[in-house]
Amino acid sequence: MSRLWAAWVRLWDGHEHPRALGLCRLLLGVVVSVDLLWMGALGLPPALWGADEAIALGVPLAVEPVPWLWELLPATPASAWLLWGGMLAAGLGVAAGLAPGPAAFAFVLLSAVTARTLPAADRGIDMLVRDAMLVLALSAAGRDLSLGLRLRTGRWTAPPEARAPAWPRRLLFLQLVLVYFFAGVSKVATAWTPFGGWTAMYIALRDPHFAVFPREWVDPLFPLTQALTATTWLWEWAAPVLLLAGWYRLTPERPGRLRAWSNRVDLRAVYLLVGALFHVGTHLTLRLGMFPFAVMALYPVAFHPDELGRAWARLRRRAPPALP
Amino acid sequence: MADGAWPPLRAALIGVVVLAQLIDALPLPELREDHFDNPVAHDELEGWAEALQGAGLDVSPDALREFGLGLGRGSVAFRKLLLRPWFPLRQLTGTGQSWGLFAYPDPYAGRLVVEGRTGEVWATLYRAPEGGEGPLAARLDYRRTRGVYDDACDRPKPRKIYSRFARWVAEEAFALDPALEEVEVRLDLVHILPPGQRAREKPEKRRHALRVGRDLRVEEAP
Repeated sequence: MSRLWAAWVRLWDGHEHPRALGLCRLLLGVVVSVDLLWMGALGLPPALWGADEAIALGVPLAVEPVPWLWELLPATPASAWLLWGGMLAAGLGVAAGLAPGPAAFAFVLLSAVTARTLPAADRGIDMLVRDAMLVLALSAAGRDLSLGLRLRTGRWTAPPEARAPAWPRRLLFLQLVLVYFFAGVSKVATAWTPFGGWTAMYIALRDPHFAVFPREWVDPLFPLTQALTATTWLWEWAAPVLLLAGWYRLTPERPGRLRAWSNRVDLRAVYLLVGALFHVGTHLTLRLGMFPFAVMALYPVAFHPDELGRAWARLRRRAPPALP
Repeated sequence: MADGAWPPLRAALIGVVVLAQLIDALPLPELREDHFDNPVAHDELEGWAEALQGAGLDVSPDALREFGLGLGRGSVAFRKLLLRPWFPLRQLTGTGQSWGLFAYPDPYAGRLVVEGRTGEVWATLYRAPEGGEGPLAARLDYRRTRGVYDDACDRPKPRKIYSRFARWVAEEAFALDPALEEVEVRLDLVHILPPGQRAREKPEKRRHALRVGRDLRVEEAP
């Protein structure tokens, strides 16, 4: 027991370069800001987040107990715009890395108000974003790839010797695994299994509220949708492989052919490459809003910052030389 | 705090957080009687009963239903009890782990249709998924708005928000076209079966039709 406890303490200890957290913060901030900008361009904040005296979908004062923001502000269209503006400012602050901790925390609190004001408009991805933002708020994600760093030191990136606590990255990595694994475990409908003919993806692709392509395009691809259904289900169930591969990476000195093979092929990269293809595919074939991009924004945390640095250096070597 | 005390304290705090999130994430069947109003639930019961019977287990759809309801009651109480201390923080931060992307793909899907009447002529203003061009389509296609009608309204018995949604859609439509006299909002029932079973597919059916006049009163459509 004491060995297990010591290992648990060690897992959340340690420091590393803040690159992975900085990249995750930047990507997530950009994704939520783009989503909010689009919402603002459509003029939707008053309709969704409420103005009791006007025609709105949210009814802030009917929620029990009344969300804290609506105790401070009147439930008017102007307040809904203020809420939207606060979230956008926080999202941009997170993306830019300007006071990213307070910005991420403000985003979480304001987003939670919107979730309680109109629960039906709050999607699973909004909850995941709040989960991730809360961890980022407690991290040193602003120490790399940030405007704050630029203003303080004159450089956009942290020096190679920069260090930040590693636990937020590891916790977000665990979060990513939980998202995929429990998404797989919760798929108990027969349509996800051979008993239902692996029809889940076909049904999703034809659901009028999510469909992109007409039936005539989807029908000939039915066998492909069956294969994709089975692949998705298996892939999500296999998410704990990410943890195993991560542990193998942390302990390369230990023996084992599976460990050596996993480290050689980089099982995490393979798993996440399939994930990226899956998300890009669903973005092209289903209307899912920011979902695919917000989940992929978490991908950098699956890698140690040194691995990201090496990958970036490899990419730069392969890039064509700049014109004189 | 001394450096030596912080790592174990931090590990303990993270342990509590991870445990709470795992309990929240567990896909326990939180089933209630009204869930069985949904035809998908009937299909699922029959599908799983058939699969289990095929595996040699003598299980009827009714027995499965009772088992699910019993398990649902227990699991709701169990989760609530364990997560009670967590609740104030969850409410403040809106954090949690309850999601499932297309966990139950709906073969009895809804199709949002908005029509407008000018004089005696009805015209389609929006019909999912192709929707149409213009601000009304863009607003209805936005993911949060879609959440309202897909999640809360597209079900055998739409939630209370449906009439508010219909009124809001009508107001939007009236603002875009001053000549409109009446707006109809409905969620037509679309039966989705794979290509090989097309003959069994039921024709699309009008459902949950509400009409809204210029006075913004919402009434059930004839």
